[in-house]
Amino acid sequence: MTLLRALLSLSLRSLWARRLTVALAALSIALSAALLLTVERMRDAARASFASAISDTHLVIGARTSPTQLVLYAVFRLGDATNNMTWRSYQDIAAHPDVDWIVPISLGDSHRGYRVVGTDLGFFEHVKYRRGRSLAFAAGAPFDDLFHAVIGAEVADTLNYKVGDEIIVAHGVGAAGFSLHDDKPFTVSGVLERTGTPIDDAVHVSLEAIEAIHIDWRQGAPIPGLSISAEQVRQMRLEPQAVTAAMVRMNSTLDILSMQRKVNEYREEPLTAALPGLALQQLWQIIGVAETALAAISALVVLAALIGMATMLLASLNERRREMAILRSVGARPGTVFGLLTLEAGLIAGLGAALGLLLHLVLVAAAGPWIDHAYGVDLSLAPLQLEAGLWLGAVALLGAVIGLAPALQAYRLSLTDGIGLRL
Amino acid sequence: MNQSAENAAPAVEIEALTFAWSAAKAEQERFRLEIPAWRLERGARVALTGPSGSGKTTLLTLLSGVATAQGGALRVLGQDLAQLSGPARDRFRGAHIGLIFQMFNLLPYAGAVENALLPLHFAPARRAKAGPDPAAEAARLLGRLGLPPEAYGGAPVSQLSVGQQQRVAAARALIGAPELIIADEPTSALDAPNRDAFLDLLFAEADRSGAALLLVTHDEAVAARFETVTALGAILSGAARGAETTRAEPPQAARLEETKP
Repeated sequence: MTLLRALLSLSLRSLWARRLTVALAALSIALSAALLLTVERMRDAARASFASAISDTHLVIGARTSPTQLVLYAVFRLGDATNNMTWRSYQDIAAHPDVDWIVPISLGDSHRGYRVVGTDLGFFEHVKYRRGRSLAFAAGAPFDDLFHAVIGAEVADTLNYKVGDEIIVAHGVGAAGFSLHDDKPFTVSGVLERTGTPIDDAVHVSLEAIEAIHIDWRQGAPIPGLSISAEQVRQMRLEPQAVTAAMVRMNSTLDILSMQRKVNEYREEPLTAALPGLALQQLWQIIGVAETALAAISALVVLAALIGMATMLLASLNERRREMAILRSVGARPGTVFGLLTLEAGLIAGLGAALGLLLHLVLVAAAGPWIDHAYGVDLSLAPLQLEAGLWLGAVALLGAVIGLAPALQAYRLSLTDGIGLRL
Repeated sequence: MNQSAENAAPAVEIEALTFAWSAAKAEQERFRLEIPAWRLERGARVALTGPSGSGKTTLLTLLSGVATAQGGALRVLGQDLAQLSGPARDRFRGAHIGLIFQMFNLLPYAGAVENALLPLHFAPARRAKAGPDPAAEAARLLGRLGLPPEAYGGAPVSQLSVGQQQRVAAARALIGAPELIIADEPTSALDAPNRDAFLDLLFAEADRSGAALLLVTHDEAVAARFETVTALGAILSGAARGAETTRAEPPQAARLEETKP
């Protein structure tokens, strides 16, 4: 015990005497450890952000497709629906006594690269994000006119829109080159608070508005010679024929599976009811390979830093032969010299790991709000896990193991040098 | 090792020792060391002389148990070093032998007290002999050697003068009262007044603990301070066996006559 304490004290003094090179080695380990931790944290946070976009939603229902695909296009606006579900089916599901609420999603149009989402007022009331937070208005109010639009925070920020501005919706979802619904402009009635979900990137209008702008269109193009003005369309009966998907919450979680079965076996048309959590699990399995590759790269960076440390220790061995001979002369065994060098490597790696943790925390604290703003990934959604501690422990341990190479060399030198009286 | 046998045995006892460096080292040290018989009594002070390359350092390496002889016996305090395993020899050296080097060999980044305490980490027996407060014992030794720790104790020894470093090296060899002190040209870096002061203190401390002192030197003025001066050549030829040494011999006068032309 006293020997261990003495060795530790000697190690620390020796490291302090070489503090510049040691600091550089520890810093490179710290940077790589911070990278490792941050990549892990980003991954967890990205997953949590995905999950946060469908807080409170029990089922996502749409035309027959794979559950993952349905959730991706309906909730995350990734990819396109191949089919719609009819308004009749939607109303049928909505009328089911076990349904607490249902919100329609109608996609297909865009505004300067941002999706236009046809929905109803229930959207602003029921859709939740980040563990049950309700949508809030930064300015204005939900639509209460046929040609009102509610825009997400990202749309407002990027395009510099405010309440009262007029916007033109384009047919289709590309950024440019599409036919414009320029005969029926919309007015921004409200701007939503930032949510970190795809809601930020959307322009929300009523289902009736979607119907209205397409009333003189057939198959993706205006009907030649037919033009119905915005004023005329207000007088018409605008019942939607179809929606892309519906987000549903049941009265009780016990009803979820029976409703899913009913929808999947619906006789009127082929439909799919997806459990969002399960669909995301499948998504993680798909993109897990990429995540693993990323984690492997950061692990390799850690390994490179540790090998750099071992190189530093090896390079310093020749200068330190006298030091080792001194220890031998006062009764230290070659094994003790070996232990000293291993301890030293472990200390440097441990210091590097601890610095890495600090760096990671500073990084998350400093860049977290910016990352949230820019990418909608809230790092606070994934607090530091026990796993991070394990990673750091593994870095220190691996450091000690990699330190075995210089330690073994020191052991050999101290055997041949002995007390090296005239070294 | 039984305590009474240890007390009775001479500090060093050599019989028919033969030693050659292993093939790897034979390139540099191309000779064999053969000693018919030699002994160093407990409490004796012997200056060992001899030309460079004659094997003095090799002998010290054997005495400190870093290398072991191929033939014959080498007993330190009654313990045949060849009978001990490598780690046990290291422990034995730590527990019973204090070494002072020509180049001091201090840990440059550690303070005077820390350097002086170094052997105690590896030798519980010496730690016990250093008393309940080893740091105080180190301070006492350093103080007696003219290096009070309150003045120098904390600073890294690399900041001390050569003479001061030499005293730290002596304190390190003396702490915990080892039975055998081996010094390899410890005064070569010192001027005459510092050299004499250093030897005075070394003798006083060795007497105090009853340690045997074997000091290698090329300096006649240093050798003159010893009651016995032995040339390595005489040991190798069998002319000097150590046993005939009488401590009653008047130390300085006799030797000066012998060494002066």
